Amino acid sequence: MDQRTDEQLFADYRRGDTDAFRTLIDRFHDDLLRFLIRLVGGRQAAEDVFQETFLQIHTSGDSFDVERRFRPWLFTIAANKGRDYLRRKGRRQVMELSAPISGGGDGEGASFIDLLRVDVPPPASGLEAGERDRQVQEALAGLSHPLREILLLSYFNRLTYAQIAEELSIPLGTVKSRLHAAVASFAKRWSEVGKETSDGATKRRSDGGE
Amino acid sequence: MHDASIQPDPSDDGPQRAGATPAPSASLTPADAAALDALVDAAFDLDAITDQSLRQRAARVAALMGLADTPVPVANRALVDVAFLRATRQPAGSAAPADELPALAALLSAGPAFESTDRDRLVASTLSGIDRAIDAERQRMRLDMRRGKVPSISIRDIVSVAAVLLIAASVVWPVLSHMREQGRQMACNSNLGIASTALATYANDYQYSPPMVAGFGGGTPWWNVGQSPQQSNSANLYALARQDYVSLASLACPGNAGAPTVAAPGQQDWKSLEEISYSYQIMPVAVRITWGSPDAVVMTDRSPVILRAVRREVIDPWANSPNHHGRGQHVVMGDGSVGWLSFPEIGQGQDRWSAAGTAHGDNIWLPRPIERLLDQVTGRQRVDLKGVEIPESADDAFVGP
Repeated sequence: MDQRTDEQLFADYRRGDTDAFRTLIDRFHDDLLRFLIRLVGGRQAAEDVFQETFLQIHTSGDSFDVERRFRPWLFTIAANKGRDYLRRKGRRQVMELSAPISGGGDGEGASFIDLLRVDVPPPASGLEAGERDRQVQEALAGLSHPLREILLLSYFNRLTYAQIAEELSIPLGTVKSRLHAAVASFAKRWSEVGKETSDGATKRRSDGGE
Repeated sequence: MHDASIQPDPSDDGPQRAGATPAPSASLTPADAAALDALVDAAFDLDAITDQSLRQRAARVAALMGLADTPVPVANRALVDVAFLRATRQPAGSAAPADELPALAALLSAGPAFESTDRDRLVASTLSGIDRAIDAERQRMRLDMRRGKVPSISIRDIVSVAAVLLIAASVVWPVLSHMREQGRQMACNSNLGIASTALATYANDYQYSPPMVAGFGGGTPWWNVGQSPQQSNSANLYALARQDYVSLASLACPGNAGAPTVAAPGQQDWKSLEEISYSYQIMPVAVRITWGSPDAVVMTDRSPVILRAVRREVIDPWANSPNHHGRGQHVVMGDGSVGWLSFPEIGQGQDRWSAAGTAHGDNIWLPRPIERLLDQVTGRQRVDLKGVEIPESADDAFVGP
């Protein structure tokens, strides 16, 4: 494994070391692709945006401040490219929401959600990987783009509020309130998606006359 | 500030607004909010949170957020180095004790789910994209360097350079105009690609029917563009733009200077025949085509026949569209494919693009009954196109304004 840091690799690339860039792409392949799949909602689209992102990294290499960290810069560019992609896709965006959202928020103001009561099953909990993936995507699809973006950016980059604010050029207060809203909405959607799925399963079983 | 900033506009819901049901409003309990703040302020390092109960709650928050990072499953997954990933994902020394945070630990160690061949493919294609960009950049730099060299200049040099430039211009000009025409052709091709996608989306929303809003029948005129949408075939195509499936600019050929690119509110059709860039299969109520039929012609570059017929001029049924200086025309088929015909006759199946002049060729500008009539015409007989004719059947290609 290459011991150089991301920033060193990128600096080496700008000095003409092409292999350094390959190492960088390889290094970020999984994380960035996973981030993008969650952000834009599909593998193919995520791969397109992935390529556009690295092309942008290449073309705006000169604007990279060597004092900064490479990873958040990369993810921020990826988020912008993802946003461009969704905009291009425009109103034809199709989101799979299989069931109506029930309860909460309809004319009764915001409801509080207690995270201790949200079920977060470990991967080995019997929930099938494909099903779990679908549920996560469905829960994320219920979030507006800015909320999804900040949730993913902060989690994938492990940044503090101050760092997010600086990276995204958003006021600290906005970052905070937006991330709060994002986590709350995601938790709510997640528990609803889980409930819809288990309700659906129960219904199917009873319909089947078992 | 570098160019990767995100606009701080909380009201910008982007394209999700129309497509997805917005999440219901929800707020965190004060305890959860404090845990989230502590987690983020510690850059997701749970060990850095000293308060025991706060740390437990923060672990829940982290586990919940970690859901977004669950692997995306693909077939035949091959695991790569998990330790490497963990190392790059977690700051050194920050790994939370596994017994304390079973859910989080399990999520984070779930490992990547991308097949290694997929990975190689994406890395390779990303690199080749960048290689192309580098090549283009080098090319530009070479030109820049040449430009940077300023020799001492005499009048003689200027005159000889001017002469060379004149000669070069006379050689290059036709090439350039050819290239410009090719550019136009490509723009049209791209327009029709966009229109084809829009047609597919529309058909998906309307029981596999391409737009058919005008609702005229046999005997009713369909070339009254801009006068009455019920008597205008182009109102069908315009519905794509009116209902926002495509922008009006995408239905404007660069070769047609009069084509509008912005729709006026409430507009249901182009204002006149001259504004139209693309022709659309005549779509009467009785002869509807189904989106998905591979042999159905749905849309083409502008018909050269209709404009002349309306003006009572002599028409040439085998002329090519005026969009590309009579060199040929693009055709969008019912299966969404876009092709180029250098002669206005379409075939079926495999001969689709090569049926010109054969017995299978179907003239796209005329309905079959008139084509048959033309076959029998000898000498200077006159065959009229009145603007009320309809295709003989769903597989009779016959486009109108």
